[in-house]
Amino acid sequence: MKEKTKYIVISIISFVLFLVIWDLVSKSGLISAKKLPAPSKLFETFIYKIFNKNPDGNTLGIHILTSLKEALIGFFFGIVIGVPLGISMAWFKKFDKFFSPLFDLIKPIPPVGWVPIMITFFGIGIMSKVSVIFIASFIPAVINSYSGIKQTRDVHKWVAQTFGASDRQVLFTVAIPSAGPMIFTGARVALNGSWVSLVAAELIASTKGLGYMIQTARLVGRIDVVFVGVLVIGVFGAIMMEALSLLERRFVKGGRRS
Amino acid sequence: MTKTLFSKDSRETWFYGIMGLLVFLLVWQAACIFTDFGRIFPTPGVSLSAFFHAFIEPIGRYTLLGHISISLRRVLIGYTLSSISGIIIGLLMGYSKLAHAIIYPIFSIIRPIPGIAWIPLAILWIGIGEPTIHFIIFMGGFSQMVMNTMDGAQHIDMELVGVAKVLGAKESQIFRKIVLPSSIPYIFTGLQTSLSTSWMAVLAAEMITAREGAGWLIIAGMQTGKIENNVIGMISIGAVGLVLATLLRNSERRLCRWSVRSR
Amino acid sequence: MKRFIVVLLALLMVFPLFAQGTKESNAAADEAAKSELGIMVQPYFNGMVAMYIRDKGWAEEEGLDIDLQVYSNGSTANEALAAGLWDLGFQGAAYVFGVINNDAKLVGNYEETRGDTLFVRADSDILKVKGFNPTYPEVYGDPSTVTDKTIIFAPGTSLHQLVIEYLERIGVGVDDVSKVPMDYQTGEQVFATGEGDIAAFPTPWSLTVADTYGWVPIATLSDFVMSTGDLIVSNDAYNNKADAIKTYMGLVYRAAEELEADHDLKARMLVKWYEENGREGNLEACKQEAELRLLITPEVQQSMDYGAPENAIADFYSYIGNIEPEQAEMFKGNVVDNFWKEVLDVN
Repeated sequence: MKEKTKYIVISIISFVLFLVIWDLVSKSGLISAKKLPAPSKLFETFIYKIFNKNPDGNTLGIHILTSLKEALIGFFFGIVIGVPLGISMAWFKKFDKFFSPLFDLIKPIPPVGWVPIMITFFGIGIMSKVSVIFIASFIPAVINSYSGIKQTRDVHKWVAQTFGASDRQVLFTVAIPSAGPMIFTGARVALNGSWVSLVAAELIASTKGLGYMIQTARLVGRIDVVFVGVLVIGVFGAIMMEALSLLERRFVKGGRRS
Repeated sequence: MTKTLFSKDSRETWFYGIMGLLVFLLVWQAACIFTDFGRIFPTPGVSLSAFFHAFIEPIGRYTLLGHISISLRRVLIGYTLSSISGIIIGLLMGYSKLAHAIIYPIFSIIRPIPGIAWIPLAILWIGIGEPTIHFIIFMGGFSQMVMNTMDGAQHIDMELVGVAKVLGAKESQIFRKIVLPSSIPYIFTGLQTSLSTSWMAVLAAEMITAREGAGWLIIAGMQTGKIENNVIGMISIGAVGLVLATLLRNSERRLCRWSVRSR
Repeated sequence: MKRFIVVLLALLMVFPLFAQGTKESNAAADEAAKSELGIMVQPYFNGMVAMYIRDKGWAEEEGLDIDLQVYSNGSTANEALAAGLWDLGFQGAAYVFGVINNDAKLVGNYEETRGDTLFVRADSDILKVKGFNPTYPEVYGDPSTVTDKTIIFAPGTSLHQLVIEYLERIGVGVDDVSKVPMDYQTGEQVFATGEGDIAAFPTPWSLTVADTYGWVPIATLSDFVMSTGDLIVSNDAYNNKADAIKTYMGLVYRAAEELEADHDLKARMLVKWYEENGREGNLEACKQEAELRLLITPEVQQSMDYGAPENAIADFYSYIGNIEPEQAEMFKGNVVDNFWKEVLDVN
């Protein structure tokens, strides 16, 4: 416990140091404030944006809520569809062969590239944004659960088979639990992916959302608002990721022994 | 590889693979015929012919091969840098609690920031030349690399480390003989994911001012309403990504076999 | 301790990656000779003049070293301005943001922007009412048909202005319609799939969508106000590279005279410019665009009310909350006429 506190203190110190250096660099004019606004200035802008609608027409809170909603819906579907698909691809050879080339071809296409297609399918409502985010989280979910299953140690499978486990039992009691850490990594990458593709998704017909806020701030040259938007994305992303890590510690530890 | 090309297993691989692609093309074709999609989106036939046409006829200033090789070079530079630094930082953070405590808070905020959001900052800091493009691609691959490597270094078997310590292994030996090898599968997943995100980032990167590249094709396609260019860009990004992934997957198979044996 | 050093070394290895670039651009700025000009254009109408000057080789004759930079949109161009990457730009309404954020100056016009148009689909009920406001007999729509409609437009551009002006002229409140911000490229695709009721397009889209989709124009920005494309100069160049800027401005007017004297040539140059930037150079559409969008020749520059359209658009941005009122006032002070007057020998 004592050691843990030590590291938390180090974390805080290093973080504060980071901010101080940043502030000094910006205020000393080493890098002009136009290129790198000081943290204190950003904090002012942050407070301003909480209550003020200019320059983009909505307050920060609304932007955050909108983005969270879109990202989480996209993430949810990405996991619900991606993890089972990844597992089946790794377990059933024919499934793998059927989907792999297609999946590999689609995998590298960036979310932004899908924007025009999603618009034509889903129009200009929330669905088109969610679908772009879905793709971004679906892909890592598949990849990681796939590699997780593929890396099940053969010995474990053999043991299970020797004791008369059916193929299905081997999958559910050996392969999937041992792929747990990998699948959770996948979930984290997927959550990251869904949050990361927000800005791209909100290039579509948005009137609110953090991506939209950044877009508008760029347009009107409010670098401070761009920074605030980027940092809010960073901080919220970090919070969500930590939450998922907590879940992972809960579930995977139990599964690891089996 | 070549000697297994006509074995039963590999015939099956080809058969199902091609089936998968055909089903996809059929769905696409059907969507063009039966929905509004077809009003603005070209059919697979039109797209593919435009795609192959682009190998001969230049789009903008280059033919498709030119665009692809320019993008590839950009991605390889950014990817190499991000992989090296990602693995180093990932191993450090995974293995050393001190490094984790120092770097992680800042890293965890930087990690979720998307490539597109880096664009305004990168332009301000670096300008609009090639280095900016490399930077965006770097950011695209970096955090994936760190996360995967870190995960690998954290999920090592502590019993093994304990045994090694009891047997008098030095810190550096533990790192080389236990931490590194058992992180390899994770690192390889990281290399795969980060290659695909780096390659994806080429689109965001080429949004800046580029007038060539596979990502630029999509952007120019969007901007000019020439959806064929958009599709050509997507197909070529997809196809190149596929080739890259296959290359990596094959080397993973080889390297993971080694890592399994070493356990 | 040893571990700490290792961590530090690793960080040091990564850091140069980030630092390197800034150093480079600073060094480049220092070296910049007075005759070197970074020229900002976009792959639209405005870039054609700069291309023409480049192809003619005039700048070299005048001893200028031109770096022609093509930016895909106004945001990037404005960020590049903040980073000190260009000296003179050809820009439409987004110049307001460049000026207020970087203390840049507007020094002259290069075109009168026309062709920003609102479209509806052919079956729209808006087409039933024409000339509701007698001042604008050609404009379609009235409060009963337009209220509650969905309008697709690119925010922060002159199209945004068109939407607001239109609603004001036909007596519809800004909040009585639903506004969907979208860049016009995507807007075209979306509108084609049946989303939205009204869509705003600039040239060259506004010249082709009627033929392609059968959409009907209901109003254009030039029905209501005049808008211009301006030459924007960075603060640094305004103070330190004035001579080079003026020389280049002379070339812009020279190009305008040649191109306005020969619209066929102008159209062909547009085709060339669009093709160079990966767009289909449709000669017919380019001919129309060449007829519609007029370059500012020395005569026109002297006869027009310089500064009025610029100030109007700043007031507009302030009205919709993109900028603060004091910023609009600051902007107006940065619209200067000394450069073009000197170039054209006007007192």
